[in-house]
Amino acid sequence: VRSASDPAQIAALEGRYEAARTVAETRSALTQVARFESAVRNSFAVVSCSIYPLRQLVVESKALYANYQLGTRAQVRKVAEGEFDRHRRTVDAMLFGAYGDQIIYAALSLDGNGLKSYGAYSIILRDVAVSKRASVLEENSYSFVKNHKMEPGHPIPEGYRAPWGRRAELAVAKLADLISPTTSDSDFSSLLLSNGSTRDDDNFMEVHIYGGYDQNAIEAVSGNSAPKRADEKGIATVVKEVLNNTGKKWIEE
Amino acid sequence: MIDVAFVSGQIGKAIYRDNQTYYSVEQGSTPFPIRAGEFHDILGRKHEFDLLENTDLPSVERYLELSALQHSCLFLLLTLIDYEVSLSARVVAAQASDTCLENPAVDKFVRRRLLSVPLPTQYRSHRHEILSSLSGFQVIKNLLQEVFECQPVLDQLWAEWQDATSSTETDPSIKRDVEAQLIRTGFFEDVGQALSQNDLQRLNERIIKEATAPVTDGLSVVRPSLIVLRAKLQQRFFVRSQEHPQKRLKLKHSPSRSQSKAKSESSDFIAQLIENSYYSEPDAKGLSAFESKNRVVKQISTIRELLHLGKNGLAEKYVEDLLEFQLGQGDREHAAMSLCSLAAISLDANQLAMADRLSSYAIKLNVYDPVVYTLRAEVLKNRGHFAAALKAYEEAKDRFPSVHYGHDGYADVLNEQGKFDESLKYYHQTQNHFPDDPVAFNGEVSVLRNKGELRAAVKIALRNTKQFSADGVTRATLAGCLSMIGKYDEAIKQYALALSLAPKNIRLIIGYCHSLKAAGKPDAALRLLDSQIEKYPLVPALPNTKAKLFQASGRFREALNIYEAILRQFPAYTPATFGGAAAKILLGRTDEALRVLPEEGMESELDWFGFRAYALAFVRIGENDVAAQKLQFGIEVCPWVRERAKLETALGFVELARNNTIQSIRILQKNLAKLEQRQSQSRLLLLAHSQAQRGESGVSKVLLGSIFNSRDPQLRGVQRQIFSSYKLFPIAGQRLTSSGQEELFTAELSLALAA
Repeated sequence: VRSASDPAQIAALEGRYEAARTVAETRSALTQVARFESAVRNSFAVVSCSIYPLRQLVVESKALYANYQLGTRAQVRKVAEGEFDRHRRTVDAMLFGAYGDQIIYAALSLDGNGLKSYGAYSIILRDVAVSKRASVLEENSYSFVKNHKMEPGHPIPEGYRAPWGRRAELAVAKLADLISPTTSDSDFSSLLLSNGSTRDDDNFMEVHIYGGYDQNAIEAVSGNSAPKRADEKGIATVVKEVLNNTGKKWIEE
Repeated sequence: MIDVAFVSGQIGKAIYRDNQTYYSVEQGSTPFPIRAGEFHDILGRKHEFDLLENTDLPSVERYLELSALQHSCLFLLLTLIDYEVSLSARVVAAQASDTCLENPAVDKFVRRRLLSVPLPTQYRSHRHEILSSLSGFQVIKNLLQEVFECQPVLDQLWAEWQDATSSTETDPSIKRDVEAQLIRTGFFEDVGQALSQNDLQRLNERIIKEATAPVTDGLSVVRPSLIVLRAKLQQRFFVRSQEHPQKRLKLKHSPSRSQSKAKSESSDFIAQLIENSYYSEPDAKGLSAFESKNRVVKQISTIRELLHLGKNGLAEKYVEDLLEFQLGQGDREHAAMSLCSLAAISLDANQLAMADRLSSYAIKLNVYDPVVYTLRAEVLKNRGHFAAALKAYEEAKDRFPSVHYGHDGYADVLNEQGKFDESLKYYHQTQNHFPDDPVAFNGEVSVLRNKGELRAAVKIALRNTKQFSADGVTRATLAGCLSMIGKYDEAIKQYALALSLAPKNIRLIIGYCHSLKAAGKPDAALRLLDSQIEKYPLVPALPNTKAKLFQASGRFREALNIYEAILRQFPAYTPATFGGAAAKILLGRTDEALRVLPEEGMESELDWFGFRAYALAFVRIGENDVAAQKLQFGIEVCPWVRERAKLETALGFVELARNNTIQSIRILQKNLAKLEQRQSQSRLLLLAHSQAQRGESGVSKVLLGSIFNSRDPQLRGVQRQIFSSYKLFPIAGQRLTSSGQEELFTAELSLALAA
């Protein structure tokens, strides 16, 4: 967040934002761009995952379940520690340095739908749980590193990241060119996030949240509560009920 | 070729290294290059994962699928035990887990977990509802039944394991890993089953196998613990069973009557019955629920009578019969309830040793019942074993956090210990957790009363009556407070109202009578008692109160007659025994009194009243030094705060009788402002007497005139006698006629003897 709030980053972002608006004005699309910007101000961070991490999340505070989950053997852990250090070679290390392993990835969404290539369930996080510790990148970090030909040690190109509170400006800078006077409000969500056939084809803005989150951070979950596999159906039914009992919304897909 | 892979079925994900590039793969999806956060997901958050080396992607995927299925099945089975999950969701979970369990590897995995680790206790009490909802899923039902049945053995196994590791000083950081490893290998499951089946050979083989395993996974560091564990388990489960060979047999409900010889030789037949019940099968020809209940009710009623008659030996035989019957029916839960009921009856009869035994048996029978724990704690409290009672209540709180009894009881014990601030703190916490429970609110008032903050107590009690307007006990608590600050008329009104709300509450009736007497209306109190005695002829506390009222008004002979009548009907009713002894002391029949009063082994508050009477009997026969010495001992040792105050009053009286007025004044003035009304007024009289005796007539006059304000006829009688005895005061320290002196002495002795 600190890096995204850097004055140089912000200045560059403002430059891109203004330029996008100017172009939109020449295309007579400024009104629609303004509506889009307003919609993105209320967007959510959505984490996509399979049913298993979701199950872990909803029962992690219950003694009954925790009682039966064992730790990992010392020998295995020792091997893991050696491997753990190697994460620094990943793309995340280029963007976040040593704290890359602390980053949770989410996507910006207007309707609560997430990226299906990352899992069938979307966890919508409460604004208050992310606003102080999240920043937004214009695209998937892999594509970003690739598109900008970034190498380890290179500075991060400016104007493509925004702190959580300025995510709407970044969305305008990225997507204003795709908004025409005839674009309707209902198109905004698919403009912001659209699922491709593979992860590489997904189009979205990536949210980086520092630190983990727990059940209290969940606003709602969207997904199918009756998947085909019997075990997944059982888990989804229970997870849905536990979430509802704790006041979280389940959005059926 | 994958050189290293970490697989976590718990979160349905694996990460692996292939040609120095890292990938993550989720179940049913294609691998992707890893993100740093995914390392953290699996390796950094303490999720369970396994290590695979030199493998390939299909193997990783197969392993992941199986591991995920195992964890899913475990989750679904735990859901079936989770009473917060609705029945319909549990049915879906049961269907799903039924399918998962068809895979033998999944079945093995979940059995190892569930049969190795004890269930949190709060999830055990719903056993019947849980199992009855699984009638269509026999495999799951059998498995969960097995899980519930092995809990007592697992509890003991883990307790011994903790002991063993702490006695061998095993490093706690290693211990956790080792325990996880032992669960994975099925060690705890196997040992638990060996214990359940009483199979010593299997137990030995399993432990020795683990203790002599190659030095891998750090298990070697707990070898000493495993050896100690083996010895402890043998001692606990097998040595005793060899002493009682019938336990090793599969008896219906052993030992039978034909084994009566063994029974009579057994030091603790009931304990033996309970132990055997773990290994016996229920009698297939059980009676119907109605017949069983009827029989048990009759048996309990007979035992109650026997306990009140003091026929403890016979009562114990009936208890054995009762348990033999209930355990023979396989009904451990109701057997525990019967024992609780009998323990409560024993407490009423001040048969503390019996109550102690019965309550400890109840715990052996059923650890899932909050009443069993709170009753056990109550017994310990009544015996004055406050530290043990606190521990028992603490356990009750931990095991049954949603049940208020443990919380209330804990604060109550702190109150009895005189730890008023701590007690208040706990009562406040309990009030927050259980806002609809008046006990914690009334408890707060009781603490304030004991603390001497009587006005605050009244204020809170008044507030409570508004909150719990229909609760008789809350109203009686307010009445008691009003009585304590001398507002007798209002107290009587509140008692009358309370009695209309809870007409069968005997304690409330007794409090009402005492309040009437304190208000100067002893006749009204006697009338009320007579009417209640007629209503409840089998409640000895009512005539006992009547006897106390007679005694307080100087009618010692009539009081004694009543006490003796009570004892004819309820020979073991200790309050009447001690009350009768007090009456005998006042009548000068000290020798007879000393024969029944306790000199040692006091536990309950009642016992200490008996001891006070015992000490005061020596004053009656002029052995003031002995009396003072004994009372001093009592003050130092007695754990009951209220009784300690009474012992101090008695000592003040004894010092006065020894003509040691300075000492008497010092003792009587101690905490005077914090005592309840009757105690403080009694002390004022004795204090005034002491001051008069040492010639401080002015002080005495003020004490008797302006400060003393009781309307209690007994106390006012003593006040008049002091006035007339000293005639306020011709010559300092002069005492008047010996007959007047004797009369005053008896009246004051009666005050010091008041229960």
